[in-house]
Amino acid sequence: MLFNSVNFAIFLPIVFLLYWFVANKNLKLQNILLLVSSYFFYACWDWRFMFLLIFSTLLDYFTGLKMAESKTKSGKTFWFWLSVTVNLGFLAVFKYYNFFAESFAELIANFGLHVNPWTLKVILPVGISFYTFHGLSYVIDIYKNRIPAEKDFVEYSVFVSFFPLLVAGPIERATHLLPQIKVKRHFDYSKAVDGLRQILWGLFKKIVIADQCAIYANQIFNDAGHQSGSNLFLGALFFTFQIYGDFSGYSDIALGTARLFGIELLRNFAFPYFSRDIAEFWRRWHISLSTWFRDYLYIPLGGSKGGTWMKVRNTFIIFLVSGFWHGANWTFIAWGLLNALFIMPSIIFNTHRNNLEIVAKGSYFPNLKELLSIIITFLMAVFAWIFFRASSITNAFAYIREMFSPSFFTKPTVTPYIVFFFIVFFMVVEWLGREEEYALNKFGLNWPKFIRHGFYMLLITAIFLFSTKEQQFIYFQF
Amino acid sequence: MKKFLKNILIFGLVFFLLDKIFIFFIAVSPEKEADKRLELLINGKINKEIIILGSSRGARNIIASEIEKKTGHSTYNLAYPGSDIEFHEFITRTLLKFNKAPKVILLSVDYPMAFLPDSILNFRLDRLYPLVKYNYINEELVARDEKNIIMSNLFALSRMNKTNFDIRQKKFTALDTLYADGSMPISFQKEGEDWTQAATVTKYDSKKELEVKLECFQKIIALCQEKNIQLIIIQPPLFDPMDGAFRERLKQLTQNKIPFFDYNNQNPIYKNKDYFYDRTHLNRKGATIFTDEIANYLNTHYSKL
Repeated sequence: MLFNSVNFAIFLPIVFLLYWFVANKNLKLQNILLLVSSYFFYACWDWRFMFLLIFSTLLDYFTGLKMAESKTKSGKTFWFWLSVTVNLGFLAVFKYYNFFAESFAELIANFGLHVNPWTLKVILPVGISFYTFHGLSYVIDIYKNRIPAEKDFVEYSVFVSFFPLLVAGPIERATHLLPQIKVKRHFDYSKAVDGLRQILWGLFKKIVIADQCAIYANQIFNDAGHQSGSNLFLGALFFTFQIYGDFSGYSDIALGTARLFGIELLRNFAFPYFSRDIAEFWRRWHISLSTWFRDYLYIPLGGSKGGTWMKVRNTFIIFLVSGFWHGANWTFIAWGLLNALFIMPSIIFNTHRNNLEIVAKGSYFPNLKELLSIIITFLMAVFAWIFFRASSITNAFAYIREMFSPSFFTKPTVTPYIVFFFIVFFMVVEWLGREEEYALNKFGLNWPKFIRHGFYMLLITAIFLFSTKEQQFIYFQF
Repeated sequence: MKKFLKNILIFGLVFFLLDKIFIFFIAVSPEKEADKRLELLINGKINKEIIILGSSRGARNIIASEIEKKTGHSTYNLAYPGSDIEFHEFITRTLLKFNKAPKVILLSVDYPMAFLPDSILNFRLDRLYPLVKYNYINEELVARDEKNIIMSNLFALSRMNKTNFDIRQKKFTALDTLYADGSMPISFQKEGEDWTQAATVTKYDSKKELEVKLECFQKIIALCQEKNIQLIIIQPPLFDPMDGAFRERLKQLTQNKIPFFDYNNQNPIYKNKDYFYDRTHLNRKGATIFTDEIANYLNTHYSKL
């Protein structure tokens, strides 16, 4: 069931009404309803993979309890590694096995040995990377004595499977979400309205921005060999807005939906395309994943404590793993590596924490230096996305080579003005709302009610007009 | 909670009422179209003996009025530039649903991409959206997952897409001028076309064929058989040589039961750029000769239609 589908538009109000009118008296009932709804939501994709989700939930729940019960360090360590190994094992089999088998075959083919790799004919279970990371953060936190093991199975299962975040995050932490699940939620009018507003903005980002940009990005990337440099540059720009609209749109819908149920999820995006350097970009893009890697990989590896060399090494590791997390393809690894290279000067010269606040806070316009920094950072991100979107490393290099050919200076032939208009409109609203949690959060709140509601209706009109076939979210494949 | 639900209901109701303004755009869209063939089809106005189907090669290379003149049978061209076999199947289905069945359908097939994944040929949704006021069209969009049945019946906006807002009168371009017989021959040549003939022929790979396209091809055959229509597959000429494997594949797909009209490859004009608009389409001069070949073929083999 996609967030941008009619099925979800029917499913959500039903669960919402049951939650607040039938289950509102009892916390247990609220959680059971959320769990059943979440499993139903997941089963709509492919009911067979529900068993994998339930197994993963059971595994982490029991290993968590066993770790808490263990009297000895070795016992605790055993249960910890059992959970980590099985969780990563599932991820390896379902997500990476074919990649390793094929890469190995290609590698030994270079030495004249030819083997037909035995590949698995399985589809990637939706959300496996996300719920595996939920579970991992939970067992790591117990192992590190940050949290106690959760005894209530229903509450733990809701933490793993809560439907708004189940298939593409945000990647939650037990320390943040579990305490909210353990207390009875009360309906809050302003939170619910805010949730609806965030859902509306998320749908706009997905349907009007991402799906429209996708048409032209696909057209250009799929026929890159016959495109001029200027068209290829436009293709990279379209993909840049597509992936942001798609993923941050998904996150907005997830956060807004959760808010309707009185639950706050972790923020996932904070206007990354207004960043002044790549380090800031990565603090603002897919925040729940970046912080997950920071807390569960970068810091355990030594973080910044061991001097510059240690920081450089750990940063490379984080970006390579992050690239690989996105998918079993060398293009993602190259994308991760490229970002590591981009960020490296600020790591070496210790300037990576220079821009912590949002740009031009309190004013309408950035100064010239800020503007130039934003443009340069944005163009670096655009360049890196080419690797992310290309079907192979070879294609990515061919794309870049042709993009920087003399035909870069020719007039582009792909010029969907209506899409340009909506991108500009989108970025203006994002800029004006950049100091809030999401662009529409406080946007227009001081306008007369009928104008504000008229504005929302215009957004809905655009969503209706641009909606065609239900388009998958890009991050569902991860 | 009551306040929340009440406000949502009021907001929804206002939106529902305002949405009805957009019915105006839906009603006006068909009148503004330059190519009215699909609307004529839905209104049962295309009752001809011979119908031409296909993409731009059918539209530009076969002149319906010439066939009518030479065979004495009323002929109309329903070929749409840029359309794929799925669209041809839709046109066939629509033709037979609302109009008298023709005696002959000439289906121009596109070498080599008729059944292959291809970005040039598409299901021409842009031809359907201006006609969303017709339930038949809306149902087709729903069937293709473009629209949702409930939403499109509740909201005018849900039936439309952005093109419906363009209510300027559409005009034909020099390239896409539609004549009264539905054909679109071109009298000029494409500027800057490279006329060096390809030295090699790209091998046709049937393994890449798409199941959905093959199914549509079989559906066209089945629809014609059901209505006792003589289907003839037409292979128009190209400036570059073609791989014979495609012809063999067509024969295999039709089990040799459907007549296959191949252009006369001995005719030197098909190697002469003066008869082409570009490498894949004839110009009017070339189209007249090719149409003549088809008319002769019909007169020879199907004189008693």
